[in-house]
Amino acid sequence: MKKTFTNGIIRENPIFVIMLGLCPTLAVSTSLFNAVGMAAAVIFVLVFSNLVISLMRKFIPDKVRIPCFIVIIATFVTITELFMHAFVPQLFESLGMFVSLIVVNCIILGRAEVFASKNKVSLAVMDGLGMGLGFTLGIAVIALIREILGSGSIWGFKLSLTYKPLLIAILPAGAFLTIGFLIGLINIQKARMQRAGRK
Amino acid sequence: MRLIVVLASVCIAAALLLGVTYSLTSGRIQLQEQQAEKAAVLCALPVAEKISAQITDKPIPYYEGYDASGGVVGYAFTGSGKGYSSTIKIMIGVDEDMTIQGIKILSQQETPGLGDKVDEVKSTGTLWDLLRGKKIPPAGRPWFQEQFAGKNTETVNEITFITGATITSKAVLDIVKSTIEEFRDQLTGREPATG
Amino acid sequence: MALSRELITIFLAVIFVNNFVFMRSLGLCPYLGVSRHSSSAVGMGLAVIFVMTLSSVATWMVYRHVLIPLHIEYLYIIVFILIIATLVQLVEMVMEKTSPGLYRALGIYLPLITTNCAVLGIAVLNMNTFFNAQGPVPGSFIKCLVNGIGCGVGFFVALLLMSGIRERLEFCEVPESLKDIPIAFIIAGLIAIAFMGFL
Repeated sequence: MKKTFTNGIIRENPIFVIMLGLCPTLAVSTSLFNAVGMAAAVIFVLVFSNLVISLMRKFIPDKVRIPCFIVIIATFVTITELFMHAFVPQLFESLGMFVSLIVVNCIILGRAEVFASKNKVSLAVMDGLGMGLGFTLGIAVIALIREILGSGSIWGFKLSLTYKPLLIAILPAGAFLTIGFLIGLINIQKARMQRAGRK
Repeated sequence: MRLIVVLASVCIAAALLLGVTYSLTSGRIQLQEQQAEKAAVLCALPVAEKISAQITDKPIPYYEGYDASGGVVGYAFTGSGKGYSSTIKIMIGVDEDMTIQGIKILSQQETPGLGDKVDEVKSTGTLWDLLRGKKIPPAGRPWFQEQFAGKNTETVNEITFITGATITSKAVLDIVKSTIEEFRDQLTGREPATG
Repeated sequence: MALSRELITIFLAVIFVNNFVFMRSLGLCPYLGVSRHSSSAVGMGLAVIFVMTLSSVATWMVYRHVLIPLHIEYLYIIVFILIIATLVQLVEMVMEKTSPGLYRALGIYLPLITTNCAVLGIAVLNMNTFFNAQGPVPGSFIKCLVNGIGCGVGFFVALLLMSGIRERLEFCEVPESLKDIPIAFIIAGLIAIAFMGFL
């Protein structure tokens, strides 16, 4: 069980390793607040849809499984959107249409197809939590870098009143560059570990 | 056959669940929207003590603002139009002479760091201040919007645009001007009838 | 002829100024996968234009004539994604019969159009832009249609640019850790900076 959980955080981290769920990651990671808010929404949808899909895995016929998964995921996304609108309106305003786009976040459909539909409920929930936390880690790191460079603040609090921000960091171009270099760094680390392992 | 039954029942279950969620949240969402609207009206008409309910039987729905003695001090209404990359909605407050009392941008999705500076509030403290326990004074209103106060449809052309966000700035200016002019026509067009 | 001028503006804007990939970070997952070679890029691009156009029309009609009158707008996520999924299935079936070579070349990427954030994104964007609290704005149907076609073309252009560059990149000396995905991101970032020239 624990292995399933930690799998999603490191070994199969959805953003840096499997590289799914990139669209919202790059678009929403302009500030730490937005990133964490989005991640919380994703965790909610991921855990609950994994749970329901795992519960129903014996009843859903193979041929209609994708539409069924999509409807289940879309339902939880709509619930998330409605609750967010009602209780955290400023997050809802900043995330905009990316909340609805959670439904096409490849992570969720991917885990449903690959894991939740083939494993029992407790494992599916663990996988959902693990992947969700892995996603949170990834998007938070990117957002932290982009917010510090691009707005000179962390969680909305300015670090310095005179810093002239690097505007490009909070624009999509900056997102691409940030994640490109981060993945490059991770690859260097992986290669180093492989060489050390061989010795 | 079984395929359709399963898919249909999933859809129906989903629709039911969502219907319930919607009824739970819609009341609160509406309440929030009304509160946000009311706050915006007060931003646009800072001198008003009381606001009427929204008058909706005209093409441009508006609010009337009253002072303590019940006299009309101004009107507030929303205008919207195309910004650079999104529709910008603005609450505009004017007095009887159509002099702008204040504006509040209700929604925009302009370019971060450029166009969205129309909503930018100058920071009054840093993270280090916060961590050191220093009290941070509350932030004021966006400077770009503040400069509209006291101008009319002629003098409003003198406002300072945001560097690098000419289109967004001009869009806000145009929306404010044209909506005030439409409202003025609506108001004066109405008055002869009631005498 | 203000309407036709407005339509041209919408069309050009969504290709250059508001390009979904470079300025809104949408449609990234298939983008990275397919942009390695020009041939698959062209095939995918055309398929996306086709699906986006059809889904703009279909979602407009359903939103206008079903969701609004019945006051069930909050179900838009489920309804839109099901429409898109159905359209993609149709495209798949047609392509399998008419050009099996292209069908095989695109492989897994074709069903992935369903989860392409850009396709759902344009439907949601249409809904947000061309409908207000009182209903559809004048001319919204044709504007949605043009927006949809333009968005597809923009995606197509983005794919072409990337695949052209990545093909030539095969002959260059790229540092080991930056190979393939990281360099693709960095290139996307650079192209995005170039697109900012349209701002």
